[in-house]
Amino acid sequence: MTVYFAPSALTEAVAYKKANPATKIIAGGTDLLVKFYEELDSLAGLMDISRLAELKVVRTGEEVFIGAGVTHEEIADHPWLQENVALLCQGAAEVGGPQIRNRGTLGGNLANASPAADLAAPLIALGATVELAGAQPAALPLEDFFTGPGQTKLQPDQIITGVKFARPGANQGGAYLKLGKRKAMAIATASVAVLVTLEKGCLADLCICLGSVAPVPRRAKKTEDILRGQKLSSLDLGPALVQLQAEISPIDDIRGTAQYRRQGAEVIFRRALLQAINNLGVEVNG
Amino acid sequence: MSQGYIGKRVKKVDALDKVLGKPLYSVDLHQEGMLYLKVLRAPHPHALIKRVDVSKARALPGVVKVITEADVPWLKTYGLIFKDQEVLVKEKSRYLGDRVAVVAAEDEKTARQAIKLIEVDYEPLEIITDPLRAMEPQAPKIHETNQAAFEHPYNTGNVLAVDHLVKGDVEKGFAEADHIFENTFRTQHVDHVALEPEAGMAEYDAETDTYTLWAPCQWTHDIQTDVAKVLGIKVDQLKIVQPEAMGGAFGRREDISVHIILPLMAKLTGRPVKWVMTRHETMIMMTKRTPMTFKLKTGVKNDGSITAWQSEVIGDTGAYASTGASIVHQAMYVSTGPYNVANVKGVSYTVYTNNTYTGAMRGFGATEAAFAYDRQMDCIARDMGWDPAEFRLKNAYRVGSRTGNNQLLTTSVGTVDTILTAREHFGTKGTPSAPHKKRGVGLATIMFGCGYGEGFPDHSIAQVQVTDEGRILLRSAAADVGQGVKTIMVQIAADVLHLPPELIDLAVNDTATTKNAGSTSATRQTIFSGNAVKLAAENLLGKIYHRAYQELGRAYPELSLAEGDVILHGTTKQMTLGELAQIARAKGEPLAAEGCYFPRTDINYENAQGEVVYLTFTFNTQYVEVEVDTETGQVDVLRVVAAPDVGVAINPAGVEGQSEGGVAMGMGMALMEDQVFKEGITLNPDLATYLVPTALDVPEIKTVIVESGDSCGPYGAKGIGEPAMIPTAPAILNAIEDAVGIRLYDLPATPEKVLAALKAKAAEGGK
Ligand SMILES: Cc1cc2nc3c(=O)[nH]c(=O)nc-3n(C[C@H](O)[C@H](O)[C@H](O)COP(=O)(O)OP(=O)(O)OC[C@H]3O[C@@H](n4cnc5c(N)ncnc54)[C@H](O)[C@@H]3O)c2cc1C
Repeated sequence: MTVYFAPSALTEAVAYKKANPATKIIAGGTDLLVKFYEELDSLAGLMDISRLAELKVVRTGEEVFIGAGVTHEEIADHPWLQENVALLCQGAAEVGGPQIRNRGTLGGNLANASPAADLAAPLIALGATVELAGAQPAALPLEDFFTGPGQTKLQPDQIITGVKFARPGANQGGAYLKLGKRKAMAIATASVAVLVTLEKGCLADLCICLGSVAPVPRRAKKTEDILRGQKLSSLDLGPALVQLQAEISPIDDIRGTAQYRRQGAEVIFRRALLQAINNLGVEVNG
Repeated sequence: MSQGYIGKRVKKVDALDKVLGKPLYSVDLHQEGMLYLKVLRAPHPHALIKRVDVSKARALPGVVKVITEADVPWLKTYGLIFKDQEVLVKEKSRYLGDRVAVVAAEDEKTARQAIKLIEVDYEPLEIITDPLRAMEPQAPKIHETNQAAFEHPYNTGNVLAVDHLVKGDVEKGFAEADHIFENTFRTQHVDHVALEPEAGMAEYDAETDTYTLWAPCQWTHDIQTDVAKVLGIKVDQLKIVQPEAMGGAFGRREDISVHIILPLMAKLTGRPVKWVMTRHETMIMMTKRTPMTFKLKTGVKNDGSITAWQSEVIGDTGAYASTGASIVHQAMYVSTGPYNVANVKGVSYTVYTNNTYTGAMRGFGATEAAFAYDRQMDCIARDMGWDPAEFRLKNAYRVGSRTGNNQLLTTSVGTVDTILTAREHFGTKGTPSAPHKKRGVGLATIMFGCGYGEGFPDHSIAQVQVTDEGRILLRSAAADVGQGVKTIMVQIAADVLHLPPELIDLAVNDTATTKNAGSTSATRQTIFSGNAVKLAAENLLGKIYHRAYQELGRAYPELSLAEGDVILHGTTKQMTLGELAQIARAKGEPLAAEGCYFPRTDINYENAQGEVVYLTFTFNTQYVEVEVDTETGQVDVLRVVAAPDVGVAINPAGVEGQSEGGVAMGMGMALMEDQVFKEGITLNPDLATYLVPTALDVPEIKTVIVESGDSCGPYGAKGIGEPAMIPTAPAILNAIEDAVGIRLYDLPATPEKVLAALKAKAAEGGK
C-alpha cells in the first residue's frame, strides 16, 4: 500500500517529510511517474506538493525568486522573466511539449538531476542558489547542488522551495541553446547556457554552463577565464573552443556518441555566445 | 458513371464517434471476473532453456494459472507463411521476445509480480545479429529444422529463402551500356508505432466448447484459421470480433500477437482473460520493418537510357519468418522502380538472425526498394549531369512498358503525370535562413503493385441487404485500421443505391457473420472490398427494381429510387424501401445480395516473370525541400509536395489523409527512426529513445491528386495506403545531396551521419 498525502502548507509538508523520510515527493509527476511506471506500488508513500501556494510564487525585482512549484509553461510565458532573463524562458520553452510544460515544475527538474535538465544550465549561468526547507532552511549555489546523474545534495528531510538569483544588469545578456534529435519532446544531446557582461567593448565577465556533456550540468570555468576580458572587436574563440573540449566529458549513449556531443557542444556554445552578445545590440563575429 | 457520392469529401463515417470517445478499443474492454495475463520473455536472445521453475509464481496469492511449454505440449507452431514459431518456447530462445511462461492472475500487479518469481536457467549460444554472419556455413543454426532448405551457395540453414528474377539478358545489357553504376544501400529496423499496443480479451464457453476473441486483426478470417490450427479446434469453434476501433496497424496486425494465448488461457482458467502489452514489450517482441541491403548495378547509355539492372538483396527477417521472405523477394522484384529496363537480373536472400523478427510494414518491401532505386537513379542523374526529374522522365514507365516482372502495362500509368504535376506545384527552392544552412530539393518517383499479386488467391466478399426499416445493412470483414475503408464502402453503396450515406449501417465485424474480405494490406481494400460492395449493391439494386416491378406493375425506366423511396413516375404512387423489403421477405425472396471480387494474378517463381503479376499500380512522386545545418548535421524538412496517381479518388480527403500520414512516417524512416540492437538486445524499446517525428517536425504537405483513371478498382480507383509513404525517404536523402553534396547510402540520415559525411567531404576537398 502506498500512502498518499497532500499537505496544504509548507510547514506541514516539512514536518511530514521529517517523520516519513522514505516518502517520495511528487510535484508534476512527469519524471516520477515515468521512472516508476508499473512500479508505483513499490513506493512507501507519496507526498503531493502541488497544492503548496508557497511554492508557486514568482517574485520579480532586483532579486528574483521562482518557487519550486512553478511550471515550465509559467516560466516560458512570464512577461517579466522574458524581458529580464530570456535565457531561462528559452530553457523552459525547450522542455518536452505543451502537456509536459504544463505539469512539470522547476523543483522537479532540479531534484531529478538529469544532466540534460533544461532549467539547470540557464539557472547556473545566472548564478542561482537553490533554497531548501527542512529542519533548518538552507541555501546553496545550484552549481554545487548536483553530484551525479540523478544525484544531488538534497537530504531526505528537505524540500526544494525555489531558486534565487540577481536580476541581470543592463549590460548583461544571455542565451540558451539545445541540440536535440527532433524539434519537440527531445532530451538534449547537448545544451549550453551563456551569460555575458559587456563593459567598454570588452567581454568583462561571462558564465558558461553546459548540459548533457558531463555527469552533471557543467560550468566551463577555464573556458570562461580564456574569454574574460577579451575585446569584442578582436574576439578570438579558437583557444576557448579547445579549452571547452577539455572541460567536458560526454559519453556514448542512445541519444548520441561522445564525438558528436563534442562537435555539437562546440557549435552551440559558439552560437550561444554570439547570440548573448548580439542580444545586447552588439554585433560580433566569431 | 458515378451518381454523386464518388469523388466527394464525404465525412468519415466513424469520425464523430471517435471524436466523442465512444468506440471501444481493445484496451478498453472489460468483463466481470476477468483475469489479467502477463508473459515472461526469454532472458537471452539465443540460449538453450535448461530449466524453468514456476513454483514460486504459482504459490503467490492471486495467481490463478502459470503455464510453460510443458503444460501445453500439444500446441502446434504458427506463422503467416512458414509455421516456424512456437507459442511457448521449448528448447531454446531465438530472440528476446520469445515467450517462456504465461501467468493469469486476479489483477495486473499480481501477474507482474508472479513473472518476476519465475526462475529460468539457460545456456547462452552465439547471438547472431548480422545476416552475413548468419549466412556463413559454420554459423550456428537458429532453426535446427529449417523448412526451406534450398540449394544455393549460402545453404547453412539460416537462409530462409532465395528468390530470383530474370528478364532479358543482363550481361548483354551491360555490354551495351556506356556507363556502369554500382552502389550499396541499406535500410533499418523500423517500428510501426501504432498508438494502441497489442491487446485483447477472450472468453471460453465450456458448454458449447467455443471461444470468443476480441482483438485487432487486419484479416480476421485468416487469423481465425491460424489460431484454430494451433489450438487443434475447428474454425467455427472460434469467433473473432473486431473491436469497434483499432489504434493503428500499418501491417503489424496481420501477424498473430495476443490471438493464441488469450483463448488458450480463457479455456485453461475457465474465466475471461485480458492482456495488454506494454510499449516496451511491443517494441522488443512484435514485428519490425525488414532491414535490407541492396547491391545495385545499373548500365546506362550516353543518351540516358538504362540497358541493364542487377540487384542483390539481403533481408534480415530476424528470429522468425512471418512474411519476411515475401517482403524481401518483393523488394527485389520491384527494385528497378517505375523505370524501363529491358534486361534485369535479381536475387534475394531472406536470412534468420537473433534480432526481433520482421514482417509486413507499409510498403511490404517496396518502401525499402524505393529507397535504393530512387537513390540510385538520383546518383546516376547527378553523375551524368542530368537534371534528376528529366532523367526520371526519360526512363519512366508509360502505357506499353513492361515491369521487371515482365508485366505489360496497358492502362492507368500515371508515372509521367505525377512527376510533371509535383514539379509544377513545387516551384523553386527558397534561400537559406542562416549562413551556416544550405537548402536542397529532392524528388522520388515510385510505383506500387496493389493486391497480393503473384498468383496468391486474393478476394473479398461483401453483403448488403434492405432492412424492414428501409435502411441498408452492409456486412464486410474489411478491417478499418483508421484508413477509412468503412467510409469508402458506404460511399460506394450509397452511390449505387441512390441513397444518402446516412441510410447505410455497417454490421458488427466478426468472423461468425461476415465473409472473408482478405487483409487490410497490400493497398487492396478500396479495390477489393470496394469492388465487392459495388457488385453486391448492384445485385441488390437489381433485386429492388425487380421487386418494385412486381409490386407496382411497371418496369424501368418508369421507376426510380430516391432517398429510400421507390417512385413510379407520372403518378403519385410510391413505396418505401422498407415496405418493399417486408413484402419481399414475406414472399421468401429477401432484398439481400452478395458480391465477390476475385481477380487472377500469376507468376513463374523460377524467373519471377508473369502476365498479371500485380493487378494495377499506384504511382507517386514527391518533391521535398530541406535545409541542412552544415555545422550540426541537422536536417529540416521545409515542405513536401506529393502527387499520387490513385486512378480515381473515391474520397479526396481520404487520399490526402493517407498522403500526409505517409509523408510523416516516411520522414521518420528517413531521418530518425531506428531500432538499435546490441547483441540482440534492443537499446531503445520506448518512445523516449525511439523517436518519431512530432507535429513540429512535419512541415506543410501539399497533396495534388493525379487521376489517370481506368484501373480495375471501383470507378477506376487504385489504392493509396502504402504508396503514400514510399517516396519520402529517398526524396529527403536526394534533397540532402542536392543541398550539401553528400552521398548517403544508409537510413536513417541522423545529424551524426550527416555531419560525419560533411566532415569527410571537407577533408577530401582539402587534400
Ligand atoms: C515526455 C517527456 C518529455 C520531457 N522532456 C524534457 C525536456 O525536454 N527537458 C527536461 O529538462 N526535462 C524533460 N522531461 C522531464 C521532466 O518533465 C522535467 O524534469 C520536469 O521538470 C520534472 O518536474 P515534475 O514536477 O514533473 O517532477 P516530478 O516527476 O513530480 O518529480 C521528479 C523528482 O523530483 C522530486 N521533487 C519534485 N519536486 C521536488 C521538490 N520541490 N523538492 C524536492 N524534491 C522534489 C521528486 O521526488 C522526484 O524524485 C520530460 C519528461 C517527459 C515525460
